[in-house]
Amino acid sequence: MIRRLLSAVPLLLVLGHAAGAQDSTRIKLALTYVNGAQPGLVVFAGPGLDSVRRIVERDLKYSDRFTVEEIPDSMARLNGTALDPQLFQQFGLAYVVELEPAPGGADVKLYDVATAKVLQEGVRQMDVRGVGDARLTIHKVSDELVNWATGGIGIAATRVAFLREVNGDNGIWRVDADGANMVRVTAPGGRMLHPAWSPDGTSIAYSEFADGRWSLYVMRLLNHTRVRVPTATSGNAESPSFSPDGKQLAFASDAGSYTDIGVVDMVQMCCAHLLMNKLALSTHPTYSPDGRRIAFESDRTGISQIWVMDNDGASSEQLVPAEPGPTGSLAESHAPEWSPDNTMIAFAREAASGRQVFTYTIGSQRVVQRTNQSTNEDPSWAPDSRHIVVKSRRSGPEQLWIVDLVSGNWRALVAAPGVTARFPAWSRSLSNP
Amino acid sequence: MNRRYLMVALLGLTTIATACHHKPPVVAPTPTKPAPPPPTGPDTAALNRHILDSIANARAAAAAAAAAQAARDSAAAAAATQREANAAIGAMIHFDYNKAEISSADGQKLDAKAAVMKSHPTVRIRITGNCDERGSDDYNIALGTRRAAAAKEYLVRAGIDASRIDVASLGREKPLDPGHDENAWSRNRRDEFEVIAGQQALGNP
Repeated sequence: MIRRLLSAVPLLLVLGHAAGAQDSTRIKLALTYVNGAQPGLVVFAGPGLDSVRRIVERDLKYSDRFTVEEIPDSMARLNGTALDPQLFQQFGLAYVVELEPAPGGADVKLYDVATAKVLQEGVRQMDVRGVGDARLTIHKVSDELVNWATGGIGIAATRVAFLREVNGDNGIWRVDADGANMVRVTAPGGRMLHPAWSPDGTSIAYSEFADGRWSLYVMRLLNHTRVRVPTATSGNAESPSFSPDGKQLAFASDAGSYTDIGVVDMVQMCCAHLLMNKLALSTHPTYSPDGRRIAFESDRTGISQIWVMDNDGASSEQLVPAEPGPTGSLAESHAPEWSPDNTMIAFAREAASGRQVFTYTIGSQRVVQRTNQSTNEDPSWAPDSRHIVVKSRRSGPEQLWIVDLVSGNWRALVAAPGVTARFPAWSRSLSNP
Repeated sequence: MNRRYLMVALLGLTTIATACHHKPPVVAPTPTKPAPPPPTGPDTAALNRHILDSIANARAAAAAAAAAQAARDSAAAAAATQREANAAIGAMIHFDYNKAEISSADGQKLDAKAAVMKSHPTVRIRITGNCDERGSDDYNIALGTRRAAAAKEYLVRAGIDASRIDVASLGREKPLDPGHDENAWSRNRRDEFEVIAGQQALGNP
């Protein structure tokens, strides 16, 4: 397919000037995207935009919404010519992306091959070098293209925070969702766990062990300052989770035989209190997208199961029905994560093949096993509610992999030899580099 | 006349033979410590003083040696006691999978810790609960705390003031054994005990 396409590309370029850069976005057509379909797409770019093209191409591939024809730079450069999208139809392509240089960035066009029309177009500011945190400006273009073509939410302009361990060095790091631009967040030294993004992407909360106990901290990413969260507990505070508006931080609090869920006001940085006192081991809170409910794991029935309660601690009930595990007794369930679209809870449960990721659909109450190779746990949702990042032993050590729940595609996120990566936490769509 | 000479000659030979017969046998000299010089002159009192001084000196030397040995024995005993006390404090206890109950064997270890803490009232300890790699990482932090709290509760019931015991949890973050089988897991499900104050009273571990 690609070979046929490459041989045809010179014929597909129709001489003429590219459409002038425009500052506005024009909606040309409305589309109906079939969930799970992966229509063909190819990306062309003008001079100086090779890095942009490669990043966009990879982002669109990683969205798992397109079959992206990956072609060499030399064959994908426009050099001032305009595309005739209609000619791509014979190759089964549905979309063509054209990137032309524009002041401060690029003019981005998305062609619908079937109608030979420009679906959408706009000049977008970006750092065309495509290095470091400035890559985010290009990822945002990728997400816009996903939205133009499918109406869905892209996941390129996001990052995953995680615990990285190499040769005894332990710290919180972040990485772009395409696996590039890995950056350390916390200073060397210390022992940390449980990174959690604030909804606006400007802070990462985490727990750190010092003087015999786990305490919560927030790292402000814009000025790189570290602030201790006043959890008002003499014992441990761990497993933080922001409310969707970022004003509350739920956490697990223990000072003895029992662990409860508490919340702290992150605006006033005060007023921490426990939501319940059930004499059980309850941990790993996760807010519903509307912020009104909190799911968590608790062993109050004897073994860990997935529970839910109001955000003030009232009306707690078991959410995911317990089911027998591989030994015949009820399987433990752990680490719930509420999907951003409010349709599912992902969690880990003991299965015949070891611990695996399951989802519980809120409406139908259907439980589905989502992974089965090696062991997989600690799921965290992407903003599109179809990708999850998990801690997996697919490559041997505990490392981070991304799975698309629609297509079943897997890809490695942090899987370099010698690196252990745990506690993945996927950000929402990010605005600032 | 000749007869007189003969008698004299026989008598002389006899004397010589007798003399030769009583000569002591020649033996190699045995090296001996030179004896103290005898008191000169006929001073008996001085001689007695010399003897008494020698005896007193010998007794003093023996007493000093005995005292030194006793001190060494005492130090060794104290060191052994310190080692035993530190070993008792530091002895780990272990748990069944996903449990925080103290076994009877580990109860004896905790009894020994309580005894040491009672005899060393300045000692404070921290109990750190640990887990195997199974269970979620979050759950393991909480379970480690529960295990540490179980040991603390036992010691408090044994008469140790709760303020002398801190609890902590490292969950599965600090495995003793990096393996992924039951043998490794059983080693890693443990409470560790460390002295956080009063180590001086306990001496070196």
